[in-house]
Amino acid sequence: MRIKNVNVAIFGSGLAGLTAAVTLLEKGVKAVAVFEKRPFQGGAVSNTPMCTMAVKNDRKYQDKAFKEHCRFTSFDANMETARAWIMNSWRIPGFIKRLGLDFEMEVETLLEEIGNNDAYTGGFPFGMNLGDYYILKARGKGHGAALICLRAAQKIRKLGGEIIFNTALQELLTDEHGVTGAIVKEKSGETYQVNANDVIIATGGLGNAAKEMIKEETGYINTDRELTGGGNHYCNSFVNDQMTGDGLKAAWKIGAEKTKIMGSGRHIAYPGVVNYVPWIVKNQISTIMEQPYLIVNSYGERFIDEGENRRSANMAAAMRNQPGRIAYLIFDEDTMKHLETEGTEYFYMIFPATIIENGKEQFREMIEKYGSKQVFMEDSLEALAKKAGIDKTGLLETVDRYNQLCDNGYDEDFGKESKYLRPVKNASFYCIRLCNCTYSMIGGINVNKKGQVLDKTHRPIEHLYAAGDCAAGCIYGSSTPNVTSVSSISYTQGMICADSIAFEQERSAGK
Amino acid sequence: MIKIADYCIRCGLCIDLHPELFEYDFEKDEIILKPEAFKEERLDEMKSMAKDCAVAAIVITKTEGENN
Ligand SMILES: Cc1cc2nc3c(=O)[nH]c(=O)nc-3n(C[C@H](O)[C@H](O)[C@H](O)COP(=O)(O)OP(=O)(O)OC[C@H]3O[C@@H](n4cnc5c(N)ncnc54)[C@H](O)[C@@H]3O)c2cc1C
Ligand code: SF4
Repeated sequence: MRIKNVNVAIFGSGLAGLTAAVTLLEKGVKAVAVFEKRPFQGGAVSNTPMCTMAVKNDRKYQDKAFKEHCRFTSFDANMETARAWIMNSWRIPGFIKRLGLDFEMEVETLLEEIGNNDAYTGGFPFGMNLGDYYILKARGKGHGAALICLRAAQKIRKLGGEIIFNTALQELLTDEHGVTGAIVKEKSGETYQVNANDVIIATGGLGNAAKEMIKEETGYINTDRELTGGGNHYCNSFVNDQMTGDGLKAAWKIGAEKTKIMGSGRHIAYPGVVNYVPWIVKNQISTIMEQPYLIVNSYGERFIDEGENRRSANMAAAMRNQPGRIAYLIFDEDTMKHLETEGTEYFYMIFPATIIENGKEQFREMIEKYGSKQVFMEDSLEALAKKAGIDKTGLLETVDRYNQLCDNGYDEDFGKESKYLRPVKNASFYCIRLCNCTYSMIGGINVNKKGQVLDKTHRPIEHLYAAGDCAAGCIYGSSTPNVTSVSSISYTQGMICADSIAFEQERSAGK
Repeated sequence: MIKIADYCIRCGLCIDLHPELFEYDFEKDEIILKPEAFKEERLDEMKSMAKDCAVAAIVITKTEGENN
């Protein structure tokens, strides 16, 4: 078998793998090679990420962010690894700037705002405020992180590193001292052996192609955007046909501890008439989807204070406990008129719209022109229930009760703020079906604060490190991850792995 | 001459914005230009998309004998 010798082998060229490679090379480590399954770098960022998060390099902020993270996860996560992320994340903006790139906007989180359930303060719907948010400067209508990955790849080559495309990690090689390299497979089907002093797994999470694994690990039934075949979940990452969990399987095979795999939470509907890039919306239905109106499960029952509808991680978690894990947003013509004249309750900067223009026409176009199976518009609630697949009796009972609560001006059942109580009385009746979507499933490998992969006894597997979505899950435990922080973990864990490898290699060279 | 550079990251933005000009060849895992993309009257749209591509992978160059 053909053999390639390198010093450090990194598998995966997403943010985590590329950050690790750049950091190693910046520290003077030689013979660094990144192996990438696809024909280009970037991983999940080939699709979007537009912002990242970093906690200030200030003990007060770091301690508060750490405490809040512990509270958020109920301590059901790997605390030392979470601490390492929070303590090192301040390095991200500098890393990006050293690539010659800048930010469109920086949103500061004040000390007293850490732990607020708003994230980005500027109106973003996910998770929790932990640090400052950096909106990446992009080229044209593109996405900033793609540019970061391109520049990182150029820097890797300039500093003497290699990026080898169309080459996938298949299995890890070990001896009594730990990991010694890997077997890789080229697109042609040919395999060869890579010998390495240290190995970093940065192969990302699970995408749509890993249907069976997702079902087994998380209970979600992955499907297409129309949720055909009884599916209830969609992975919204374009790289995902390559995200088959290769890195996880390779690590588990040599004894790595298997940790929980989670979807970074986002509930969503896909009425945007786009195929690939979720933020290029061609109508305002995504904005309507985020509003705090009546939400029911498939039995027609309410299950949450709909005020949470702008906090995707919370909605996603609540939907996980509903039959079929899907939900329905329902409102009537009066509310549509309200959206068209007074405007939306929430402003969300990805899908900005305060006034909805000709909402009925937008629904009609989705249904008639695009044949959407996610939005519905009918003249009666009975017909709406039938079309959308909601239990009719349950829905009618809930709407009766909900209308009473609206009349009373107090939501006795879920405590929703009274300003959001809008009755459902007059036709037309509208419905948007909400499913759970992730940008890829994260987690599976447990790492310590140095980025070393832990075995089932929580001892490090020598010379094996992991970073990014494949390892980020241990920072969140069982709680639904805050999507906006996920790339923050990828960058930071990449740097941490590089620090540890550079330190250990220097130490053993000095011996 | 118009081409998609090999560092294209297959994000699909160009397909979402101009489905009549770009498409995905799933077999080859490549974005390809549809015949329409080479028409003179589409040049402005192609130039505008070239400015929007996240990594500047849509390359439009003048070749001898071309007016644009
Ligand atoms: C649409 C979308 C929007 C997002 N928005 C945000 C945001 O605004 N803010 C934020 O913080 N995060 C966001 N995220 C999440 C963020 O993009 C990811 O957390 C991050 O990019 C993951 O980086 P990674 O390097 O860990 O993994 P990935 O980017 O998934 O990289 C893994 C790489 O490994 C490769 N690979 C897989 N198997 C193998 C193998 N066997 N051998 C070699 N290579 C392999 C893959 O092809 C891929 O290139 C978003 C994600 C998506 C999809
Ligand atoms: S927008 Fe650019 S990078 Fe994205 S698929 Fe099109 S050509 Fe490739």
